Amino acid sequence: MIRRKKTSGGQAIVMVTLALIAMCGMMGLAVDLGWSFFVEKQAQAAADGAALAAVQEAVSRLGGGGSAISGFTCGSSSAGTGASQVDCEPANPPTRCGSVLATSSLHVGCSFAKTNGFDDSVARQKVTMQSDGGTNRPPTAPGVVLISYWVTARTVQTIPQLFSAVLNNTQGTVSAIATAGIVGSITPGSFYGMNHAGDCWSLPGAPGVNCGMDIKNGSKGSIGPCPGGSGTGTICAPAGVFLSSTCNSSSPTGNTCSQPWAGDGGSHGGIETSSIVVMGTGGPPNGGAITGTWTNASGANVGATYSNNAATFKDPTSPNPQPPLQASSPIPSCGVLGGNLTGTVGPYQYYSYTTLLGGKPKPDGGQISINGTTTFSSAGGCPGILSGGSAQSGSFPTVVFWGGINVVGTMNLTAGQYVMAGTSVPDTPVMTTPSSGGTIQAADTTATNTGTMFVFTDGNYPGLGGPKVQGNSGGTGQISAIPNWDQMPALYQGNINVKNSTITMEGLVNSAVGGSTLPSSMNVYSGVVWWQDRRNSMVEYNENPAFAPHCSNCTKDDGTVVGCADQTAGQCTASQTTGEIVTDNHVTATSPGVQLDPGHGSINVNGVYYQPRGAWIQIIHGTGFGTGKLQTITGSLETTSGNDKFLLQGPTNPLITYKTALIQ
Amino acid sequence: MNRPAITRRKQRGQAMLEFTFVGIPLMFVLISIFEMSRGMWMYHTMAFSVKDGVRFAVVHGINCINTTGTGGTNPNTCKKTIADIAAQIQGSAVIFDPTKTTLTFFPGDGGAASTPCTMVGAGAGGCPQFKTNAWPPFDSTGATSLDAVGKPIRIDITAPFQSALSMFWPGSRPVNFGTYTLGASSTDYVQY
Repeated sequence: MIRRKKTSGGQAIVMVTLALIAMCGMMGLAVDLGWSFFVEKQAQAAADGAALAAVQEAVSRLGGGGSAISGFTCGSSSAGTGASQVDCEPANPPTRCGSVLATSSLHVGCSFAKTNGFDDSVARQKVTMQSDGGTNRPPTAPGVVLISYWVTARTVQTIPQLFSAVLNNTQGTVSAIATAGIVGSITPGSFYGMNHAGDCWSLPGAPGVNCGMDIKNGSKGSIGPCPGGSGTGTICAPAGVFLSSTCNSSSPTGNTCSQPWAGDGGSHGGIETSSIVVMGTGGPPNGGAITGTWTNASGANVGATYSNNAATFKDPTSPNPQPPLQASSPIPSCGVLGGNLTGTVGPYQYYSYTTLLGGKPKPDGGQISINGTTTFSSAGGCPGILSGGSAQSGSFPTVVFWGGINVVGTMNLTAGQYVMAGTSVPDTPVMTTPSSGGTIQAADTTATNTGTMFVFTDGNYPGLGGPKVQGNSGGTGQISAIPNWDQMPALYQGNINVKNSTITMEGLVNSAVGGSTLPSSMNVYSGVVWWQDRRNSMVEYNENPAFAPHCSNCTKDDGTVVGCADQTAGQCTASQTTGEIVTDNHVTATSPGVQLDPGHGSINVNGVYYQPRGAWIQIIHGTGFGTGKLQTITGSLETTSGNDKFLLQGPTNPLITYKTALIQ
Repeated sequence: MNRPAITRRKQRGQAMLEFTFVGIPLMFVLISIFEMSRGMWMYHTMAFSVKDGVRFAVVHGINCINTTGTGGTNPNTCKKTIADIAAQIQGSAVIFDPTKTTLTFFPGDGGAASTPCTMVGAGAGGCPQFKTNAWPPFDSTGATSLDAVGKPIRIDITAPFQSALSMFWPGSRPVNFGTYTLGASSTDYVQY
């Protein structure tokens, strides 16, 4: 008896001990592992926050947007810790936050990690930052090519184990990694109608025309499905439509809403699209109405969805400024007698003259006529009087036409930026073709591989300087390379009318795409083929669509505030006066409007057509629309007559802008 | 002097009685702790792995679609397939039998769920067969594409959990290791 009792007593202790060890092990699995997953979650949040914050800081140090953020490289001048410099720390193993200087852009990321509970100076924690830019891709996300700067944040924490310690597992390590970057993001959608209720096709003060209208399909024909679909449509907008107008049958008429709807799909074929997003908190009367026929690719009716999120209807190109001229110092000017240009010509500033003043040509602001076959090439010369400036050597030069162009013959384009700098006769086109038609075409592989960009503006585009009569007091900017520049007459915004013409062009191709020689600083305008000056608009340029323009939002492309002559309590008036718009921006009654009328020509343009809010485009359907696809960002679109299809771009060649995002 | 012996004699059988009263519930508690711990461990691992997978998916959205060569201009090549995401999930869920762990991929904005697949092997239903299925799906409609920035996506995971717990369940046969299905789900919004 006694022996047995002794044995069983010892047995209990052994059993309990063994059970305890195993139990603690199991408890360890549940408790310690659960805790480590919880900490891991925090570590991931801290790493995500740190990487995003460091990149966001870099964006703001680089100016908030535009060419500087897409063209960033970690050079000796740009990489550093100055107030406007961005820190690149590509070293491996990565730099610990303890070694990141307080003035560095990465320091912001470190402090975010600290706010989220990960502090490099704490013994059991470690936070590291790694960053680089330019063509050096992030090792964690090598597939992301549209990237100009990246930051990888790593957070590590050692956690003491509670139950698992029984199994000699005294320490556990959790870590998280996140990479964020300034990355190229595609802009979804085929069509953006940015005109709000109250934005008209007429100058403020004049009787309102098409106020609050974003899209109207007046095409007559119904000729089968859009490419890739089986529905019907005379406007093909496969990637979706965004309408910023809140017009419906309850809206005030007149200068607020000329029609009781924001968009009209028309009755012949209608508009084929995958989605319609309209501004408002819901259907009419709380948001814009749509009418007419709207179908999807399979022919089923599509209804509107509503959003009152201002960001949805924001200008997709904001906050980027207008595309900068590629030549910062004045390029040579080429005076052309009577404005007649022909032959193989170089990347110069072209201006028209008829008389001499002081032995030098006197610019008359006349339109440049493109005669015969005119080929633009870096090897070309000047068929007139060449003077001033320094020659351009880059693969993406700037060509300026003071007074605009009239394409009578064939205009052969090479890769580059073509600036139509105003018209001397108000209410006339800044680019036109005669009724017999002209040809504008991408003539070589650079023009298709790198792309071409037309800028339609007046004489005061940033960098041009502008005529003296319109305020260029010092002869600064590009215009200073023109002899007798102070004789240049006033140049206004002009409209575009290319009836019967044949146009074949490709928009800008991101420099990360093989074959493209686009300067990386222009990547932020990837896709753009035609750019209309933001100031050429019936509303003072205002990127915030939710309100009547505030002064602080009423910005000129250089960031300065315009149109505040009659400001009350820090606000511009809800609608500017004719005088303000004309004086500020040289806009005329018809200049924000564009007429695309292929007639018996052919328009094959691929890329993004950008017009600001307050501008409009009118499509007169001939039979000449080919396969070119335009992603159209504009104030308002109207198609009239004709029965061809107007193709808008799907997601293959959209606007790419640079933004901050997590990429790994 | 012989009081203890008397007491011992009186208490004979008491240990067995106590063991009956205390031991059985104690074993129940013990095994329950074991099994609950194991279950929690599995659930944590599962939730963690699927969260990891969703995070992996949301940073490889519409901007990762390579469109160069088809008239497009996006040179990024970071798009992931269902197989890639399954591999990522498997990497953080090593404790599961990959042939029995099922993943279901939901584009959260009303799109149809993918065919549920097991992480590897197990015949035609395995995720590796979806090596060409880009996910979240790109449906060529831009703003409404299910991989567009801001669209919600969801991944569900289920795995069998064989537990001894059920043997204590009233009505169970003495030794019955019931099989339960543990599941976890994670939702996030496309970032890039």
